[in-house]
Amino acid sequence: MTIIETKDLDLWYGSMQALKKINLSMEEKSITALIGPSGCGKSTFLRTLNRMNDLVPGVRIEGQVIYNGEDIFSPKVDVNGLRYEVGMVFQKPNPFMMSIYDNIAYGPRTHGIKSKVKLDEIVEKALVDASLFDEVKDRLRKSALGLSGGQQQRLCIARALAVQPKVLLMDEPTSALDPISTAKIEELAMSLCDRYTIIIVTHNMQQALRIAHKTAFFLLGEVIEYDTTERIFSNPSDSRTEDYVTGRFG
Amino acid sequence: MRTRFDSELETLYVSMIKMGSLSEEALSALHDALTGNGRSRLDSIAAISHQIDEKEREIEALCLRLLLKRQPVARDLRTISSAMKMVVDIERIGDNAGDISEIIPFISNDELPARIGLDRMCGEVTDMVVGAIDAFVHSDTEKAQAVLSSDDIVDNSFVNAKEMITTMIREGDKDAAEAPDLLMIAKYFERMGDHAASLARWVLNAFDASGDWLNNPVQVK
Repeated sequence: MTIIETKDLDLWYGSMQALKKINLSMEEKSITALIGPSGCGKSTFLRTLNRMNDLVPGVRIEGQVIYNGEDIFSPKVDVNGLRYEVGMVFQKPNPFMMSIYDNIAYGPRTHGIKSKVKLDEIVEKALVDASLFDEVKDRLRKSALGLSGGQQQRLCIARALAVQPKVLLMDEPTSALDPISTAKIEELAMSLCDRYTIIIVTHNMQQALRIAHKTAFFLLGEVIEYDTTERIFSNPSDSRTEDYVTGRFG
Repeated sequence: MRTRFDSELETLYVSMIKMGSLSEEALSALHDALTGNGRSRLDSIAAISHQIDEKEREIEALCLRLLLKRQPVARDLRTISSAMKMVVDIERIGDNAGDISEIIPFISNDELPARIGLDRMCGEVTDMVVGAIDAFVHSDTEKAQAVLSSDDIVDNSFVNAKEMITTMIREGDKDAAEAPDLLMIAKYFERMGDHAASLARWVLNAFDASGDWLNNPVQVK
């Protein structure tokens, strides 16, 4: 079932058009990879899905992003509520300067949850889901900044999971990580996708191949090809996709 | 920006051409012997077949190295995986040439093979093998399709040869004793035609964009 669908989505930064008539529909509980050379619009597209681009000065958006049957740009939509449901994990782990526990509890607390028992439960579940609990259970009150880069990234995923999102947007979540930490995040993404929808921007083709069900190839603000990942990387329909995935440009 | 990988693929193409040339050389030696132009080159076929075996191992190793180092996708992956399958067919063609070269000396009448069209079969198979390798190197799906169609010609030649051989036996031809050897040669050529058709299928598998490369690999007879 489609969870997010974009219809003729255009986006301009000032006079520069960064997205051109994007029509993509993303399946619920699956992993979709967005690939393409730098500046092709994939991160812009990702950030549009939870209205992060609203914060960029001079941005203008036309077209629709339908999430759960409703256009996210409709005045009726509560943007904060949208961002709880459509969470985001960034390229560089960005834990808050507070304890591991408080990082996770931050979102639920702003939601108004005050019960310690309830918060303990949420923190533990988020850490378990993010495959981090066993590594940090004895130091939940210690600073999150003491964790390794890979652990910090999983903490950020746990923090996103703590507010019970439906969709996780990941913008190159492993580009700053070593291979072992990368493998853990990939395993995590694959184990989460039976409960969450994941949309991931990646420069790592092999990563898209390993984890994504479908892959969209972006070039100069357009979606050139969107198909099963196996098809994109074995026998793509468009020669530009073929040239990009085989490293002939980009 | 990927000059090195392209030059490695060029090496693969050159090796495939060399392997194809070796099988062509073996077939040419057979052709001489089957048209009564002397059997002196037959002895070279065993050595050629050995060289083909070595080339197969060399190309397989190159392909494995490319898979390991380059982690190819899309066209590169299709090219390399097809090459790995094609060398197996070329190797079998070399083996079949070796088998035929061992039978020919037992045929006492030089004119017999041409009488039942074995020389023609040899020429037909040679065209198929050369065409398939050429189609691979030039990503030429039309040529591969033409090679595939030629398999019917070789199959027909086999049926004709078999009928003539049956007639020889039935009519008590003076050369009827040679019939089993002639039939075996015809059968080997027919098998070589199948392998050449298989080569063409692997070319189509790699370069025909309309196919479902992953789920529907070419069916080899």
